[in-house]
Amino acid sequence: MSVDERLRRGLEANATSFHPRGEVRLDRLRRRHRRRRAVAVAALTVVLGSGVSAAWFVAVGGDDGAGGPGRGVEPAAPVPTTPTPSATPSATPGATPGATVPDADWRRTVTRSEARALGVGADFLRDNFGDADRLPLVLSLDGAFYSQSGRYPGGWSVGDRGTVSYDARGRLVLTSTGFGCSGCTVAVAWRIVGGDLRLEDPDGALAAEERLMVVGSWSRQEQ
Amino acid sequence: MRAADQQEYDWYFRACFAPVSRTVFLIVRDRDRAEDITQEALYRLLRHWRTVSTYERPEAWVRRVAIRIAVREVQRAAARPEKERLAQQVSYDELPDPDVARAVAELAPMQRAAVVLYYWEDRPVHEIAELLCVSDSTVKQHLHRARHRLAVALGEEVGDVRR
Repeated sequence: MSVDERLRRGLEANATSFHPRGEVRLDRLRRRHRRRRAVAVAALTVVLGSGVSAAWFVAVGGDDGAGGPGRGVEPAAPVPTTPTPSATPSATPGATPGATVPDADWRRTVTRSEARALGVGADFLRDNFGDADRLPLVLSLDGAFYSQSGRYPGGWSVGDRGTVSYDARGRLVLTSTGFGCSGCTVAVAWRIVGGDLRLEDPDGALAAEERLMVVGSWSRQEQ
Repeated sequence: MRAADQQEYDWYFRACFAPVSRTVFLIVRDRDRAEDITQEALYRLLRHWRTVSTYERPEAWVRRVAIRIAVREVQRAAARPEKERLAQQVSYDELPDPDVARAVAELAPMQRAAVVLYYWEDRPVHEIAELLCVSDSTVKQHLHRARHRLAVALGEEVGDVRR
């Protein structure tokens, strides 16, 4: 092995084994915020539900009994805070209704040969790979936000960022807010297999560049 | 700071903290110091937010500041008396590749920084030169010497450089 290859591998292994405590603290903080948000949403739902029920009860004349308890309860049904994916579970292999991809930094490395096999254009290769044969990527999911970093020709930097949502089929929908393609969306089926995140495009709807950068198996990097 | 700015800053903080800490860690070899330096760089981002947030890539600014602080720290540490340095011995055994960590740690501060930026961050020579405030030829010289020294320390071959 050449000293260059040894250094690349060794430095990468040593660097990625370092999990800053500050990051762990940030993760704890995010979890606390999410719990608080969930409690607040639940409480708000109950309060709004009670209010709507009471208003409806007064409006229809609560003492006539004609509506029965079922009619009194119906308007109080909580508005779902996340879409309920249940229409076509076969298209979202691992996703159960309401499930979300765990927040973490997910890592994978794509290679120039994979890109060529997918038919990725030369311009894209030059911009994203430079002279390198491989491109390490990190997809960071943090609640409603994501960012994708990569070791691009200019070094590690954030390549894309935006918001995370889930469509009616439970697919992960990444909507970019970055400079390059603000408003662009990528929807992929997802599942967790042996701790890895598998992103799939069963409909073949994605462009070759999107498939290269998103579809595949991602390993959890942090925590 | 407005709420939107705060949200934007938070996003940069989250996006930068881990990757910048890792690069700094490879240079300074000390986990706590790596985090301190990264936080310092992010604090400077907050102080200069109004200006830096208008740059195309504020995260690149944070990385540059952090790397410069790290290199200065390493240079200061190298200038400390031998006894003081011996008292702050770092263990590499818990790292996946302790041999590489040990060999890189033996390099002079500027060589070490150049090696980390070249092999881990994959930065081209002219960017390393800009980051370290030296000329391109100085960076090439640092890399050339470092590669030969590392090849001997690691028992590997000195191959052809592709860039």
